[in-house]
Amino acid sequence: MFPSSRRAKLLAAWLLAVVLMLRCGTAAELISADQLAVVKATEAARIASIEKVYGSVVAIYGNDRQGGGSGVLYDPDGYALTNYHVVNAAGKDGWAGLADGKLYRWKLIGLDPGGDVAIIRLEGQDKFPVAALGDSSAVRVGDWAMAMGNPFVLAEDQKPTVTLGIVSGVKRFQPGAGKNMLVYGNCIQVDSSINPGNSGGPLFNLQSEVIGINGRGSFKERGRVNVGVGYAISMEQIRTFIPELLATKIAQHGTLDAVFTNRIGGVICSKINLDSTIARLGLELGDRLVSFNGRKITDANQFTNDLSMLPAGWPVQVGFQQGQGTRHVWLRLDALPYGSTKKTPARPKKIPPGRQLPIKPKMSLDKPGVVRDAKVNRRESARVLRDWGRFALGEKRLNKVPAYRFEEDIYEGGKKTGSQTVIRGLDGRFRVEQTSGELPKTTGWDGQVYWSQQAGDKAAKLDAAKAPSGDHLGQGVALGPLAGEKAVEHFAKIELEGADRSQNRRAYRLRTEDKQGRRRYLWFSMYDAMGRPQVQLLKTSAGRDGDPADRTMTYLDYRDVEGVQIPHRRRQVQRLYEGNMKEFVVTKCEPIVELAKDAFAMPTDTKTK
Amino acid sequence: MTIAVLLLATSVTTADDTALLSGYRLTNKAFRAAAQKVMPALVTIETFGGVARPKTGKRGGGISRPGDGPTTGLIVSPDGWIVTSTFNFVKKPPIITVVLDDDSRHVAKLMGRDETQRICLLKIDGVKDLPTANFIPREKARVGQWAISIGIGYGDDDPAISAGIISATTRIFGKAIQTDANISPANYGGPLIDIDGGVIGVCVPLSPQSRSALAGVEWYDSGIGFVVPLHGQEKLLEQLKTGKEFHPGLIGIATKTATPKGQGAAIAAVAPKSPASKELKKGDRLLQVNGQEVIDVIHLKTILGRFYAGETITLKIGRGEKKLDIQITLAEKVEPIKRKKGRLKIKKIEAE
Amino acid sequence: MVCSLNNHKAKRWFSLPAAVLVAAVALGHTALAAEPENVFASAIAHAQRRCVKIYGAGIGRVEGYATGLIVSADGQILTGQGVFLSGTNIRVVTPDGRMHYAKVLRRSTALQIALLKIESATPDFFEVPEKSPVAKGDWVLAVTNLFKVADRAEELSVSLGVVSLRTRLDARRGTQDVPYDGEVLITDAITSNPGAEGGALITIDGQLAGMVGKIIESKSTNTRLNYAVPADLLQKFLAGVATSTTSPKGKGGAKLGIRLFTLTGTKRAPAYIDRVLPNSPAAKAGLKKDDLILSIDKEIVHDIRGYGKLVKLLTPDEEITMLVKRKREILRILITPTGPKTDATKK
Repeated sequence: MFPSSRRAKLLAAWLLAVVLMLRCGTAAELISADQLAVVKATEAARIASIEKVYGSVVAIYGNDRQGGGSGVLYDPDGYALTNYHVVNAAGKDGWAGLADGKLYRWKLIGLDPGGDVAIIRLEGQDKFPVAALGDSSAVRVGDWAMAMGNPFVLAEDQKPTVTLGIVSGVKRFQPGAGKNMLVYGNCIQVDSSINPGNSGGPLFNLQSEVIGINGRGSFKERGRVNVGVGYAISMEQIRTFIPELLATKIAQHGTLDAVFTNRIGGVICSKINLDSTIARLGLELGDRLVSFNGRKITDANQFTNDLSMLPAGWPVQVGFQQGQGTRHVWLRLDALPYGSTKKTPARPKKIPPGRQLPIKPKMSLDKPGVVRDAKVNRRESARVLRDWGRFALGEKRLNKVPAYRFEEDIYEGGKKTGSQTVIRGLDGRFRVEQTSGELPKTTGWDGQVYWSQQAGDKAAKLDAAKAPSGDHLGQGVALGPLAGEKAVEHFAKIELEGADRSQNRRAYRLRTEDKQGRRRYLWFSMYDAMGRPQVQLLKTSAGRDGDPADRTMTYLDYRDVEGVQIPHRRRQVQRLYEGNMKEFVVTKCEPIVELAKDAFAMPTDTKTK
Repeated sequence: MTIAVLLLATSVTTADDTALLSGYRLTNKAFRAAAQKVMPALVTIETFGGVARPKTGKRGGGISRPGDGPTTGLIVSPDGWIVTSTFNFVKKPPIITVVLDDDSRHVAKLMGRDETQRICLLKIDGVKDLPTANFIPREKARVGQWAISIGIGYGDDDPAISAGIISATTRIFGKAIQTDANISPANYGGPLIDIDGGVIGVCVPLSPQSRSALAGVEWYDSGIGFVVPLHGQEKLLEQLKTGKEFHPGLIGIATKTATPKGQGAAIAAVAPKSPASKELKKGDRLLQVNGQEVIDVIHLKTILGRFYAGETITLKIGRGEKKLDIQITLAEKVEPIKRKKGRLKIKKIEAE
Repeated sequence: MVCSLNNHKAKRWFSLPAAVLVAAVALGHTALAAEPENVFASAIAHAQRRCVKIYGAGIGRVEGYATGLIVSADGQILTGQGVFLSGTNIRVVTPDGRMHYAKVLRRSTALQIALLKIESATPDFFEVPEKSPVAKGDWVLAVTNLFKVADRAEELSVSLGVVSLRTRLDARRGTQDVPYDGEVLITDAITSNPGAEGGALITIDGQLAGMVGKIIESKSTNTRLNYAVPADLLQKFLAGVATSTTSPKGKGGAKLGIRLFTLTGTKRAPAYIDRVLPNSPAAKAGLKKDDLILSIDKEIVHDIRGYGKLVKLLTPDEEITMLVKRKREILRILITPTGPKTDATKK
């Protein structure tokens, strides 16, 4: 029908093009309604993710309400994270503004001048709005990042400023100022606008989680005005320090007191303090660093970055090559000192671009690492036990069951070596019938006396020193009465010592003394695998470092037994690496509702049951 | 028809996931489409002559003096009224011309100005039925929504755009919306638009710390930028059309920084011959302004900064045991307060 | 032709999923499996493997470090024409952290760029496109070593923005200190920082859109300009094609026969005509006393000084367009200047 000539084909093509263009509407319509709807859906998601945490952003002022910084509430009891340099300027207390337009009082809890972090506590509400803490190790360059805070004190009604950008770099190192202060050793670099006043405020991902605390920027000729380079302390680092800050300490960062340099042949020890822990454990000049804290080290910067995230006292494994062999040692990091604050600093030299301005500590840093406020520290210990109670007892709040019976298998060196039945009272009394070895053995504690009975023999009292004391108290803690806020009263003395690690999880470490003057250390977890707050008893011990005589027990595999979370696995461990000496695996656990009067009493007859 | 068949046949992933994925890629298209919507109302402003280095107090950090290039404006009524920023006339140029979207050039006359919002109106004659900018209500602005600034300050016929978000909605004495899109002399006087092409506000330099002519310019392109929404300001615009000038209202008091909480803001001194001098005394405590409670001295400054010279405000004060209601008409200028121990900071006086 | 195939189908059941699918198909991508929120990751990784860190001599306050783009498999590197190239040692650190010494092969004053060479194979390099892959409003990522934050093998810093405008940055306009001659991409990402010069400006699917430029100020706004040399101009430079697009400057000596009103004493006064010389080109074109000269060939005449500068650049016998304000009207006047020779030889 149609002419097949080339001209006709061209005409047809031209007509089709015209039709298509007409169908595309006017020149002004560059996007269809449906496409615009997709764009607005992403926009709406972002608006919602901001609204979710808007109320948790804090505008921090001193008592005179001059100047200011920012912070973020992460605990409904009013605890907020901020920068050390913000509270250093403001003081021990001051005013805090929230998006509801109101001003609240805040008090300083703890400081980390080395890492530029601080915790303050707001007062005035039963339950403050909070933001969830995110996982900064999952952050990648190119991720969206939102900064919230109070740059240039613009928030006259306390509503925070929100700026949007992307993560520009990760694991960035920005050198500190003064002596070991304000080191941003492993920080997140962003191009979200960060200006003076944003310090201490949160950096959020699009899931409304705090991935860092903003604190620095690179500035040059334009003065202190953002030029697209801001730095945030990573949440990973901050989480590790939280117990140090809650303990009301001036936290210190860890050091090996040895310098490693990139040389041909690897990362070599180029300087070492002979009094340092690692020197006493055998590290020498010229040794090659192979691994640090579980990571293979190929660059000295990598080591410095990793180290900068850890507090003094943190247990780490260091692998180094010495001569022909490789050695691995476990140690607690030594403490990086701060300069004396008694001397006034000399006139500051011209600061090279990008360097931090010098800081003059208002608060004396002469006694770091020490609990500064015993009353607040006790309250923090109570809170840990309260949260442990919430985890262990859930809604019940109180465990009315008098005792539990456990059937357990015993493993040593990976092999089953026996089994036992344990009756454990909530008040700590116990009776254990072991069936390992040829002859069964029963031990117990009736609240006053330790006793033991070998099969066929008469029961005999045990010397308290030989008694498995660490065990029984730990079980007591695990089963109820020592969980909950009131639990502090069970102890004659209790102190939140700070941050530690157990079962490769971040932990609160508490030091307690019972009414008999016996010292016990308790480790509680801080977070679950998803990074959400979860306080579980991890370990009990008579000593800090797991010396063999300390009777250290770790607790794993918590399971629900009629509403109570009970560990179904315990390990007797030793040393900082928590080497497994003996493991007890619970095969059955049931509550004993009716307990016989003499359930724990030392048997008087010679015959076994 | 083949496309339709394809769409019907294929299954689609959840709207959520795919929306996130495609949404931001389509965002660029949306930016362009939104900018296109406001283009007809965008004008180029050229100035001729004037003071090259205007006295503007401290160096407007980051720029030595205003540039020589063209600036941006927005048509607000079809008969030729154009809104722009007072920044664009800091040099006090005797001659101003305006180039419209159709490339026609017109002589313009500078009429009224509002110094608290840094905006002013131009009038061109001999035009009708001009397309106008569509300002959206301030209440519609949401923190986190897209915001695109548009300006022709780099000198091309084609405007430059910058994309960011709305950072806050109640800034600078409640007058401005804050954005982290680039705001600078390249777009002062031009629009900040939303993803639909509606105008959120006019880009202007502002700062809560100072009211000098270049205050706020030091924050250009820093992720801190301000726009003033014109929706709801029709009465003001009508007054600007008559050539009226609006200045910040001053009261003439200095406050004590340490007033106990719950007692508002206490007066430390009163400027002579000022609006305050007739009615207020040293020691009076300002408890409320127009019914709004004064939390403290800093808060007072942010409340008083909202009013114009010539406006009358009602103060509730505490004098000794008594509480009084007092009316004060704010002035454009007040004398600085001199104290024996030395001059008080000027900025306190300016704001109050 | 995505734009309105949906709209013209009145049926509402296409709506969201359809639009999304159409968009996805049109863009040539299928839905990605992992982390839909960070779709920049692969473009960034691609660029990180093709950028280098450059260290050289600094002068005074100007830093001696920058970034560079690997543009060939045999170690050719594009960077800016900066002071860091002035010393004897130019050190280039490739993405693997190894250091190489570089020499300058050639430069372009018009684009303010230089081509370096290191003696090393560089299998990962940028393909420099002939046509610009970006339009105004598109996302761009700047990959640079600003403030030399990254060291050795550490990754460069990445910043996000949109293309603000493509426009001329022309030496003849006298709008900047730098003798740049050509078009630039202005972006709203802040690239005007020490060390960023020579960095990559890429699209979100990894193509090279341009090379980050120097720290300069726009004389139009007197503000810092964040700009990049467009990829198509880089490609021309690499191919040895001339990039200068300006017509040669005027020969000078042009005369219009205009005397401006200068009694105010300042050269910053607007360029009002005081006298039109008889039989002059201005007289022939119909210019009158009290006319205000607004522009010559689209160049704004801000004031008397500006007028003088522009007239010096005109060529005799080449017609120009002048805009003048006469009372409240704006007129367009065509006028052909005469020259000293042509006066005598004019018919």
